[in-house]
Amino acid sequence: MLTLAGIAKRFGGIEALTGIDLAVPAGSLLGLIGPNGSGKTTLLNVVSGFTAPDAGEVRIGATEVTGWPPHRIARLGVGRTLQHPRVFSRLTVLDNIRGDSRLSAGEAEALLDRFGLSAQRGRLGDELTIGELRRLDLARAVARDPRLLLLDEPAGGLTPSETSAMADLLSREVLPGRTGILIEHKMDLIAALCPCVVVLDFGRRIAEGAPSEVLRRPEVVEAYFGTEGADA
Amino acid sequence: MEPHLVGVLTNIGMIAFVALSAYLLLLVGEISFGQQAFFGIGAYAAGIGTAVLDLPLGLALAIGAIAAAIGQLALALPTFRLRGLYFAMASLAFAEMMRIVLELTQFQVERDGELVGPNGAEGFRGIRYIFERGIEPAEFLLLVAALLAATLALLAVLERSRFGRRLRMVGEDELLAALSGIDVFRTKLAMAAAAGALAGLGGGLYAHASTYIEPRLFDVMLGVHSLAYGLIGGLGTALGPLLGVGLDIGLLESTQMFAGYRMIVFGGLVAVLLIWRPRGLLDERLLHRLARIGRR
Repeated sequence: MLTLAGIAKRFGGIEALTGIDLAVPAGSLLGLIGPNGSGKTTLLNVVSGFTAPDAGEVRIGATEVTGWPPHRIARLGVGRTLQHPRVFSRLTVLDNIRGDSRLSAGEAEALLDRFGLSAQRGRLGDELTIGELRRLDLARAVARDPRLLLLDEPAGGLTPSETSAMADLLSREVLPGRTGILIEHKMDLIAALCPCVVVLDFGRRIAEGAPSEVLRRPEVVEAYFGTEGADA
Repeated sequence: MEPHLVGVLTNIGMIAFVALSAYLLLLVGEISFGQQAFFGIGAYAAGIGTAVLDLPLGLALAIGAIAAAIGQLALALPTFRLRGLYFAMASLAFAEMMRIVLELTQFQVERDGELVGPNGAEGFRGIRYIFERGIEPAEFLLLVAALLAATLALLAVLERSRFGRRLRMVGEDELLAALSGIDVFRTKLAMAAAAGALAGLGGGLYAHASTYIEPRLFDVMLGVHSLAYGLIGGLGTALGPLLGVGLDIGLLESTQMFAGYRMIVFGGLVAVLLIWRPRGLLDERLLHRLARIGRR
């Protein structure tokens, strides 16, 4: 479904991504983890068209989309949430969902209901709590019924109970029938949702496998905690 | 109706078009200090249409609007891809360039033993269409009011449509708009064409109401005012710029209130509003509150 081959990106003297190969089969969710600054969000930016790679190829299905502008990639069926949730603050929650899609008001309200936002439908985007913002961000991403979802820390800033509710929402409303990449620092969420994770460090892919197994590998522990952590 | 009042209302109506043109660009997040250029292009093109080419007024106004739309697109195509204030700077430079071009433009023909047409810095005299056909000022006001009402009705429909949401999405957050599948650049270009056409239509009407135009009428002050009208009146609705024009021309200019201090009051009003209500009096938040009250 999603194939990345030899993706490289450099910002000045910093190698943000180096020769990343990745394949996400249709219908599966890949966890993408790594310390801050390891290149996770840059990789999602490359897939969604916000950053053109210096080298490599991005394919969604059979279509090569390398260097396409973000709106064309979105129209191909790619939904994306952002690390810091952004919504249209001067639009109502309902209009945030309807956006530029062909959703009727009724369909948009049904979607809001599924994401627990019915009571907020008439509020402006900047009147929401962080939890509501995260849910609206997710609802907006699925409003166009994408086949590929790129989720950038959907549980960032949420309390443990909100994170648990988010996991439930993801597995119930967002992920079924879709292919996706999930970036997350909360390993419980990764372990609960992703059968497979890829670990990045300094823009390089250092490990891949089942979460429980990968998180024990010395190179992954070292990437997160340094050499002392790996030795312990 | 009293002639002075007819004149004031006609002036408000004509300037409202250029204010609306700046508003349309503000809606998609672009600040233009150069809408006076397209007002000027419309004025000259429509004036040439009736005075030099002897075309009917409707056709001349349409030519003025189309010429201005093309002019605005010519500016927007290379500059909308730039970030930050570059479009604003380019719009100001373009407008000054256009004013100088008009000062150098000579296109006069003899009609009834008299030379008519643009004559460089001397201006363009003899745009006498409405006088030659006995159109009364009150009738011309009706024409201006009808065109403005039609424009506002069209904008009201547009703002409630999917395309209207698209405009506000692009204006608030281009990245998020693109994530929603919106072609930000094309959306902005569409608005540029519409903004140019509206400014050109206003300019065409202005040329015929005045009978005489000259390049210095289309200087930076008109552009700054056009921009300020939306920022004063509000960006939540197309009625916002109209309110801004009404406050400035209808209240400050026409009543001679604060005579001699008008620009100080106007500038102060803009400064205060930018701090207190950055998106003007009729902003999205106020309209949202009013809509909530209306639903109760």
